[in-house]
Amino acid sequence: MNTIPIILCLDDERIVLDSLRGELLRNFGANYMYEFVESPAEAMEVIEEYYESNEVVILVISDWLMPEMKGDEFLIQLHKEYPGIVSIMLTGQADPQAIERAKREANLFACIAKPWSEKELIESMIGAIQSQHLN
Amino acid sequence: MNTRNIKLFFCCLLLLGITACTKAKKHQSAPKAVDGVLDLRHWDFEKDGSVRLDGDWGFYKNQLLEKGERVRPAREFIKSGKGWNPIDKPAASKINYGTYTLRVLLGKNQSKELGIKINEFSTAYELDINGTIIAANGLVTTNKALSVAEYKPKLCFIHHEPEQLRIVARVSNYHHFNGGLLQPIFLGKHGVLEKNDQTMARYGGFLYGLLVIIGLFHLGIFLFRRKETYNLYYSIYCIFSCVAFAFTNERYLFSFFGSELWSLSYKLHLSVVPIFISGLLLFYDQFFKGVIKPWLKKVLLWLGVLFVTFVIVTPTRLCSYMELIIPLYLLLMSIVAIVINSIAIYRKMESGILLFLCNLFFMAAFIYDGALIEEQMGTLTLTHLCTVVYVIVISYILSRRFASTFGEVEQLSNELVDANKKLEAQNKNLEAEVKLRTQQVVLAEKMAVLGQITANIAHEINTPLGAIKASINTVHESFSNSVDLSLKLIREMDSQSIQMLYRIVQEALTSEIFLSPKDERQTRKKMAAEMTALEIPNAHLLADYFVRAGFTELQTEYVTLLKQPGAETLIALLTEELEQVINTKNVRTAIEKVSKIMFALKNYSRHTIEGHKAETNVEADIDSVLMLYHNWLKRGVTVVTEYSGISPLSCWADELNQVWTNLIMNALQAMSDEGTLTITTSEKDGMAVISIADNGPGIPPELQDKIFEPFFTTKPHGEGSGLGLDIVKTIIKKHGGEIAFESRPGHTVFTLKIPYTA
Repeated sequence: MNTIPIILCLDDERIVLDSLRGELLRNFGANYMYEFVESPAEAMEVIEEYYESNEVVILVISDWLMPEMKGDEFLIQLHKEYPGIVSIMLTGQADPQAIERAKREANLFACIAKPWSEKELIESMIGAIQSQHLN
Repeated sequence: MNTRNIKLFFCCLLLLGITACTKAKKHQSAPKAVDGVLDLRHWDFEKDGSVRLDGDWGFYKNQLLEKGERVRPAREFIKSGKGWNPIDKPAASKINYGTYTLRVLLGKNQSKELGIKINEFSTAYELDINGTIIAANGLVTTNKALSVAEYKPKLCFIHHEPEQLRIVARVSNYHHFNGGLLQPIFLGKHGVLEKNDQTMARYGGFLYGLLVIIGLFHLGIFLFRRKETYNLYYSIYCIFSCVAFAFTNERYLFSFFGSELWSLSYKLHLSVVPIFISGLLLFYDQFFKGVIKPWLKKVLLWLGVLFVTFVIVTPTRLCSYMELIIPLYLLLMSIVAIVINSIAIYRKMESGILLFLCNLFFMAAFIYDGALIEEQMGTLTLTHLCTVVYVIVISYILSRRFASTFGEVEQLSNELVDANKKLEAQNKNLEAEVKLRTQQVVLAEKMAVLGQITANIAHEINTPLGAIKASINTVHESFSNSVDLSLKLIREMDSQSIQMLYRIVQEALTSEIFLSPKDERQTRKKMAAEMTALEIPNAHLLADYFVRAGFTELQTEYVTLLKQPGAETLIALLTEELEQVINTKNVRTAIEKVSKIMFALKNYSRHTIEGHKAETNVEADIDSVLMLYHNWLKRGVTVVTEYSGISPLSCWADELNQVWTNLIMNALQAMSDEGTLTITTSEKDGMAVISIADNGPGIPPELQDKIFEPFFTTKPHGEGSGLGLDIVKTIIKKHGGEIAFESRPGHTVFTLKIPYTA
């Protein structure tokens, strides 16, 4: 049983996930476990799996423009089932209203624009995780 | 304009005034007959002029004295000009015939070249002077059945220069309500009387000529231009009043018809009066439209009709009473005319004042003539003159109106020509502007599309750029670590192990394996489990690197390497190297993506030389468009392409690109960016067949005819020019192809057919 917290990244573009991986590993290393998924459905599946084995996903980094479902929709749905998960949106274009909605209803911590600066992302993530600990 | 008319009028007035005065002067001091005797012994015919035989004539009632018959002197006297049955003193018993006598005493040498002008006795007479019959009209008889009426003025020469004239006139009348001497008889120098007759004839001729010509002229105008009926009525007035005049005074028309048709002539002579009066009334009615009340018009016209009917139906003896009505009738009409003119002036109608003055003058003249009828030589001269003036003035007014109408028409015609010219010029301007605007709209469309594509591309490139950025950062960071670790490892590790390490790195570099994240996860789990079982530290992390680097299996030699004592440094270096490999591959992938987009853009914006076609891979072009719009499509559109690998098509590729772009965008918009876009290509009958289908709500049947119309659009105002499908159709036509579509809710497909050989 692993009690290392899990960070989940969701984006329909593979190369985004790949580049995120490098950044996250370098900055957080073995402190967390990382999962990278290409669709919201897959994301829910993975989170479900971990939940069943009593492992905790604490942070979700999600894209907004995805074919099956928009990011804000997904995050709102996610928050309903797993209110303990904090999220960050990483996106090239997003509807400001959607962002607002996600912040209100889905525990969205921040929204970062693509292309993102590594520093900004990491700081946001730290901030998000800390806010989770406080709750 | 008006003042000129009035000046003209007063000149005529003056002229007439002078004429009237000169006429009036003559009849001042002629003696009158008394008890059947007229004493002219002190009268000089040459100096004092002609004498009208007025006064008391001797009258033998119901007696026809034979010529030369000696009889007692007359006991009864009758005034000339009144007849034996005047209306104010009707005879108690019927007089059908009688004899007039007059003895005229002449001065010395006064009877040379005398003449006598007899207008008429009503209605038949025989006149002798000193026993010689010198004039007769009709047949004088005591038998009604034999009687013949005649009106024929006679001018006779008196021969033998007698010292006195014993004038005897036998008169019979069965045709008129009043008989006897109603018209003047003049005695004077024959030459003078003759000259007078000739003057009257000339005046008459002039008047009749004038009236007939003007009447016919206006009749002619009416026949050509039926709209203005006042011309007709005016011509009726002219012609019929001419006829009326011709029946009076010298009785020309009576002579024309002859004594057998005397009744006809007489009835005609009466009937023309209401006719010309009605003509004048109707003329005023049409000229001053709306002034006469319709009921009044009806009444006056019916009066005329009654008059004429009465005259036609009754014998002349009865209808001759109408002679008395005529002056009243004329007076009534004058008054009506004046009232009409007054209203016309009040309403400021054209020519109102002029006609008013004319009428006033006419009425005055008529009254003057009537009042002085006993004293005037030749009845109605002033009326004649007035008629001339009247007719000329009205003709002038009508001509002026006619000319002004022409003038108006000319002006309107000119204005029309001008307006047409202006319109033409404006049309040209508008056409030029429309052309310009259309060009602007087309350009705006292209710009809009370009804008969309630019936005799309910006997003498309954004992502790889972000990935490259992150990856290069990682590589950069990793570098210094890997250098340090390498140095450390060289010191600690044997060369064999180091070589193995680099073999792993090489394999990772060259590995082409790309697993989906899902598969990756599975493989990683498996490997992690394996590693854990083998007691390799940080199994999960290591397995992650291995799998990402492209290893699906854990080779045994790797295991030995990893399980070596002091392998921490090795493992650390390995992870750094693998990280660099992975990120390098990432960068490559990203760059490839950007290249694809750039290629698609280059393909799309490729310019063909104007007029030259080029062989084009249509499917590749469509793919380019899809790639450029990838970002847009990502929002929820599933793209299905079924290409059958059609041969290259000779075409204007940039124009066809516009077609694909337009149709794809339309489909996307119809589906509201969610649904399935299906594009198929095939070759059939020497044509390239391309279809673009969407599963949106479709085009409503009522709009299906209009979609290719320029500027037709269902988008809200300001979005989209509506020229899209118009441009598409033009381009396809240019290629010699055809475009068709089918649409129902859930399935709309546009099919384009372009021939391979144009």
